[in-house]
Amino acid sequence: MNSNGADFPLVRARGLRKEYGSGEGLVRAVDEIDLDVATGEAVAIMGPSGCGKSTLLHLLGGLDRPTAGELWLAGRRVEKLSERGLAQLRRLDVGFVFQAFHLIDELTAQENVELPALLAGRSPRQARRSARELLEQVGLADRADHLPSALSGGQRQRVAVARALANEPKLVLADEPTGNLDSAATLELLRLFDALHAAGLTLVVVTHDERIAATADRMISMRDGAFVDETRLVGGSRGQLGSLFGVELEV
Amino acid sequence: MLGRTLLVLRLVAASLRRRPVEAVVTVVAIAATTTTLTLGLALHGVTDHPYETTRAMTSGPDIVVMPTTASPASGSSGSSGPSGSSGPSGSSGSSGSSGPTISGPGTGSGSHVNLLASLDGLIHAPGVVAHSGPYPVSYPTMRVNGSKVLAVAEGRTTRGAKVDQPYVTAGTWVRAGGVVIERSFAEELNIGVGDRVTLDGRSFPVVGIAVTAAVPPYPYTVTGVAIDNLNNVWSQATGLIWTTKPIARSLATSSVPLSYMLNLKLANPQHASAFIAAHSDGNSLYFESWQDVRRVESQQMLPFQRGLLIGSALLDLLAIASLAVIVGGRLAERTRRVGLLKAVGATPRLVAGALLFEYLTLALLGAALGLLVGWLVAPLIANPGAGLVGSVGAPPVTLSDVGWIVGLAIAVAGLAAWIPSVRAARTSTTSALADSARIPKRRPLLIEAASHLPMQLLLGLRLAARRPRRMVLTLVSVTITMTTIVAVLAIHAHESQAAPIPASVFAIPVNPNTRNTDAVLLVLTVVLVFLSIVNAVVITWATSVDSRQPLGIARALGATTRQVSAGLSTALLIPSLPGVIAGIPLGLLLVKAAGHGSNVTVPSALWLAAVSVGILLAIGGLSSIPARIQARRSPLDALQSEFT
Amino acid sequence: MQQEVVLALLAKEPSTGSRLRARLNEALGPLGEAMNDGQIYVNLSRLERAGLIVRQASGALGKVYELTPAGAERVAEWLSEVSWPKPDLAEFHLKLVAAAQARLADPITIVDTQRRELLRRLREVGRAAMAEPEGSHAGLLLEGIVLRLQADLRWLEACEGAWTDRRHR
Repeated sequence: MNSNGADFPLVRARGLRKEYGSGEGLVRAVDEIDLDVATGEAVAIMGPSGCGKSTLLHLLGGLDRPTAGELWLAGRRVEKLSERGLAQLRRLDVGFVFQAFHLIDELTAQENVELPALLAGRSPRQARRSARELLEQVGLADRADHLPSALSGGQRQRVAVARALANEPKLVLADEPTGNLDSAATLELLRLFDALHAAGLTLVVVTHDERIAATADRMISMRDGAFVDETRLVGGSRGQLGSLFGVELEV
Repeated sequence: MLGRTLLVLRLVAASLRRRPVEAVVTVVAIAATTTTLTLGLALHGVTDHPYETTRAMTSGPDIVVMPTTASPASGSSGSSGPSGSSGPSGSSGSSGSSGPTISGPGTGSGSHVNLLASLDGLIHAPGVVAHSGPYPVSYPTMRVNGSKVLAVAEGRTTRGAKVDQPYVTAGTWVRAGGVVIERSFAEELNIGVGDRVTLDGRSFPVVGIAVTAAVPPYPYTVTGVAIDNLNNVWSQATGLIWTTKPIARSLATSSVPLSYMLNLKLANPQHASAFIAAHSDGNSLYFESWQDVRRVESQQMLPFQRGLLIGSALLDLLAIASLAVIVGGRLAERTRRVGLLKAVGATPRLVAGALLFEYLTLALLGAALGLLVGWLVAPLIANPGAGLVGSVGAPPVTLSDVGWIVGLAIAVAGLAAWIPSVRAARTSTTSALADSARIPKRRPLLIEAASHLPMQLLLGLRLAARRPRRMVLTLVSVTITMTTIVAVLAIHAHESQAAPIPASVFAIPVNPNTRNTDAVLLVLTVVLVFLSIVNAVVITWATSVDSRQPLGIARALGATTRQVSAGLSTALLIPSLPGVIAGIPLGLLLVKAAGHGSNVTVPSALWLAAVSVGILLAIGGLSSIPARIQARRSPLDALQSEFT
Repeated sequence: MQQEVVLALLAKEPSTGSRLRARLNEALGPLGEAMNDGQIYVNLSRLERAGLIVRQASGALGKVYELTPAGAERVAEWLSEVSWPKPDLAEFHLKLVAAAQARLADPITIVDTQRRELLRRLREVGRAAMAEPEGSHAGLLLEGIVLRLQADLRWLEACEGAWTDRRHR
């Protein structure tokens, strides 16, 4: 793991813990987790539902505060930030993609994508221009003026990705991004993530879909709030594709 | 059947548990509406027939007769007598509205015996079914609490009378050596039971306070005053007191001799004028019909009634606004929930039943609360003035009022449940679940124009523009609230300006009834402003409920609490601003329409500006509360609550 | 893959071996790369011997084959068949059972190793699928392989769960 010296990881968590309830009903959704994510890395966190992976993601993105432990993002201690500081973190350093898209129903695709830029204090003109570019990038330039209700699931999720990218975040966190998508839309989104990853974006994806996990550089399995396994995924350059799945005729 | 009932109960309980604040706000809003209605109904009861009520309770006479020629003095040398003439009530022919008329009883030189004989003739006249008196009447000067006023002392028996038995509101009826004072007179002079008053230098204890329908209350009490000089402009108000016959007789003086008062009850009270016309021979007798008294009463009550009229109109408007917000407020959320229930297989009827039951519970609770508050507040504003019995003994909230109000609550519940049910039944389950805003046909100009505004404004504007119904609702509510306050201001401005002008009926320097009106207006104003605030809270709440999802998302995207609350405020202030502006002319129009005359007094610009800014600040400030409450919770809650 | 595939491709129009090869490549994408030209020609001559295809006059590009009526009938028959490859999971299943019973190895370790391998394969196929242009025939084939691998991975998850439970008992 890239934890030495100058190459300080973008995300570093030590002993991260999140508890809900108390006494008999105490639940450790996240239990003493250590995690490093290097800049430009794509990490998939897998596990059955209820294993705490979404909670972990919310902690990483400053949507929730840990009960204990330390968390750095881009060298800054996150768990000590004020509410205001957390808002700024979510606004500038992190982009979120949710399973349920969480687009604002009343705003058009374009306006949804403009939102983070406007929140960050950029001028409406700037926000509009960058939103156009982002929608272009996710292949939805022609849908800019549609409301979310007029878009398909895959299109909505691509709008959500564009929105996550609006402030050029250091880190994009995705929570079951393909959970509500069919296989064709999933493939679209994977292509998008792959292109973003290739362009150097750091990605942490929480999923129970092996297909997405398989595209990551590293796959971490989570059970009952703790990491149980970690696999560094390599290859994938089609080297063995033919020998493994190649089609041959009976001779 | 039992299982289904249980299911409905569970659904209702779950819904109430999940959104306790909204349930409370709904109850408060319905309570405010029913309070409003209770007050409105109570006001109707009072303004309708306050004089008739008093008349019925005191066996009021149809005609009061007084000789215009006083009997020779039989007492000691009196103090300085009255130098004026009659009040505005006048005889049967006087108009009574343009000011004091000098047509009242005067002095004469007829004999004591003749006077009594002519009165006796009237007692036996055809059409008369009952009478009381003639009672001796004298005119002592009364000194009390440092004031000096002219009193009309009527000598009574300690037993009650068949006709005109004044209704005692405090203390007892006339006892030997004691006096009873007419209520508005007593209130003006601040006299209570147990005080002592001085009549022509002799001190008497006050044993009671009472009201009567025989003569108009202070300061218009006109009784056959024996006056030295009829041509002197009457400049002194007279008040009525009752005492024993010997005392009344002993108070007569040579300059102001003893007179009499006879109360007649006719077989047909409507024939009072005809009776007077038939029996008034020249100037020797002065008649006053019950209609004359009523006219004076109603003139006195006029500003009061106008105030109440405007007040109840405003209360009705506020009630309508609250109802619109209640019914419209939860529509979107409800529609979504109906979709959810249908998705799990509930029949439309079950869904409608659950909704209806939920609203019914809230509405009946609110109605009960509203009735209670209304019942407590109604007597405060339903006081018809000291001179009449009015609310005394008569409950302001009747059974039929309760029926109306409960009926209204049920109607509100039905409407609030019915609309989303129908809407959800019409739309498919999936689109009801989604219940998202529709595709815009064109980009609203509003949004185009906003692209140069700061971010908070932009967000607020976009949210507002895509929810046109909510915007209209807010606009209407704010307009009504502003109309209310402007109208109240205009009435106050009118009252304070009108008071010093001496040309009107209220030429009397001190008029306790004006002050009474002021007090009632004050209570009414407080109630209206309170309801306006409740309205503003409800509007804000409804908007913030609607905006929960977008604002939660905005927070997840890194919006600060301040940005979120500014966005919500903007979404509210955009429709509020035109509402406030429109409320100013509407408030003035309302005052004008309610009969405050063509010369509506426009409140000072400073006041109007202060109120406008105040309302906008209040709405803006209130809207930051839900945003702040939300900010204390994790933004995740707002996102997740969408699916629960 | 059966020789009927080649036969069926000829149903469209008479064709040379190299044309057939090109059409196969288009439909199979990267998965067709393992096939060599020899397999096609061996198949064609075998079909010719069986009387299912007949050689026309040689063109400039080589020998042109076309279906005989018997061949066309065989194609129709093949199209109506509903055969499907058997899922071949029994071997791995028995591997786990045997390992556990003989206490030779931890079944969970075996499952874990296997999963890594499948994930590696999934990654490769997934990348290949992403690289395919939208709407390509080959993309659809790759999608099918992805879905099967996902199904296998899910089964491995179930195996892990079950063997973990058994170990605790």
